[in-house]
Amino acid sequence: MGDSKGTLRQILVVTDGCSNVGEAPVIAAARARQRGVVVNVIGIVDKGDIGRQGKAEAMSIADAGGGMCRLVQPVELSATVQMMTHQAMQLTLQQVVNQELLQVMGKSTEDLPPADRTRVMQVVDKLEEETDLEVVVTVDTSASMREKIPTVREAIRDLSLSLQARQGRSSVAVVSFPGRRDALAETVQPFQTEVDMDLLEGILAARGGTPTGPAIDHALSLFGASPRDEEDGPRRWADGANV
Amino acid sequence: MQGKWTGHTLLVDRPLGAGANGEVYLVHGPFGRAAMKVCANAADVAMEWGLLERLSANSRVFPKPLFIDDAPPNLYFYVMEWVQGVPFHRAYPRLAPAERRRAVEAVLHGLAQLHRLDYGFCDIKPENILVADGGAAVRLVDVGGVTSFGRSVRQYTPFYDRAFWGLGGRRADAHYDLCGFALNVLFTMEPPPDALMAKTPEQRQTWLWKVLRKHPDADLRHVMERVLRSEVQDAAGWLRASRTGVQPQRRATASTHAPNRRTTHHRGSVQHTPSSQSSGGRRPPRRGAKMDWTERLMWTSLGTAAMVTIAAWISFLGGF
Ligand SMILES: Nc1ncnc2c1ncn2[C@@H]1O[C@H](COP(=O)(O)OP(=O)(O)OP(=O)(O)O)[C@@H](O)[C@H]1O
Ligand SMILES: [Mg+2]
Repeated sequence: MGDSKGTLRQILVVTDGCSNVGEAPVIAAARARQRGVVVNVIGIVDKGDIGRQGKAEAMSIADAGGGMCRLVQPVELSATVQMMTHQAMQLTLQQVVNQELLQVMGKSTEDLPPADRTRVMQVVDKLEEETDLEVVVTVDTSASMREKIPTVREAIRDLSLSLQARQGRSSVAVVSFPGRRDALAETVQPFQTEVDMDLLEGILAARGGTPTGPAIDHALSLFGASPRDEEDGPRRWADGANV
Repeated sequence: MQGKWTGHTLLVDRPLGAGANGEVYLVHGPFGRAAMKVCANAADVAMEWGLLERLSANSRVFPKPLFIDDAPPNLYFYVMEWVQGVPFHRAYPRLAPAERRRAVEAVLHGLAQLHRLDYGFCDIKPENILVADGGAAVRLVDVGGVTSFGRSVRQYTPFYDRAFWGLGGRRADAHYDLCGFALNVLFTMEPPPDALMAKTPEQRQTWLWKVLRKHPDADLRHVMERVLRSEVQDAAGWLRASRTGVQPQRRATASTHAPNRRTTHHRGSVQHTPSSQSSGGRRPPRRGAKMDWTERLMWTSLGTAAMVTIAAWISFLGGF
């Protein structure tokens, strides 16, 4: 497998409240989506509640970012991070395969008899295991997160264990918001195949607001420019693959 | 409920369980009493059905698949054999010592059978191990986590996950399941506290070894420790190790007959669809044509050259 394989890209926002600094996160999420990056959101509900507003915001970010949104207790965080990353990959690949099906058969997966769907899912499953993946975990480090940060760190370590087990290449970057020294967002760890727990010690509760929008932008900038983004629409897959 | 493709009518009796993927109900239908798993997501149903079909061709560990169907507008389901039994964590503490040993052996025989097909169960948790007949009959349910050896575990529960405890990676292999099962046995006595979630794997292990030392069954404790330390790697190894302790009588357990019909097993073959009784003859009989498009889909989706454009597709789709 060469370098030229396609890469799935995701931003995972972990937060426990509402943004209140900088551009609206929905706009940043929409921009990410436009560049082919899916934005997922996990809202941590601790004892109290993330609040009606926080909930609505979390959902609208995921909506604009073409991703999913879950509200969970801190104990569920680890499993949720893993599951969402998996489901988001599956969803993206399903869309890709669906497009291909439409081209080949003029049908989408749901139109197929269930027994045939099973075979389509085997394709999706294989793709999921083998495609490359880049995830930026974007962590809210506003003061209210202080007690949850150790759990978040372990959840990130855990995610990376899952990703390392895959056959495709995966890399994880970590961003915190707000950053230290008045930065709106800060790269805690650049893209790496494994997480560096020493670097994750840099996820610390910080003073300041909750600049979710700028953080999504910061995360997006880590992906660098994809050379294919500029092309005018994708080539048909079959171009290269038909024998 | 009526299926769209098969036309089968099902009478829903009562819920049997629920989880992250869907809900399972006891139903009455053309096959008598059966269990129906319903999801809102067609993909999960299709995925699990495919696994059930493949596994049931060569083993009886999992419920026998009956048929798959949709209930419009947005329910997707399959129907399988109803497995009677009590979840492991409720059954185990009530068993006599000899019955416990028998239940553990039955689970290990079941895992061994699955492992012979090169699959791991992976999402081992007590709710997914159903025990009947005083430990003599044990069945596994929920194929949602079943993963071919060597691939990344697709679904797991943190406390029963080898990697969570820093005891190994998260690629499916026999040892992954053994660890998971040992943790199941251990935690029937003492469930782990939620606070472990914020701890490092080293700190988690400290807790784990402490609980292990307190485990009342000395023989089991010894074997489980060897499993957790990776000294015992497969089900046969565990069975051998436990037999060197107290010798239980050998008996053919009802649930875990091992017919060993490996010859018919097509390793990792995607084309392997053991039966098509599910579609009730409604599908147009154009097998040749159908092969063509799935094969082509596979090719177009997997060819390295084709993969080049995946990123392009994704960003293209993102524009909608
Ligand atoms: N064939 C069956 N016969 C009897 N009970 C069953 C059967 N299948 C499932 N159950 C019961 O229903 C519960 C939920 O089923 P299952 O685990 O398949 O759902 P799930 O949504 O995948 O759950 P999870 O999120 O825990 O993986 C099981 O734990 C089991 O107790
Ligand atoms: Mg499941």
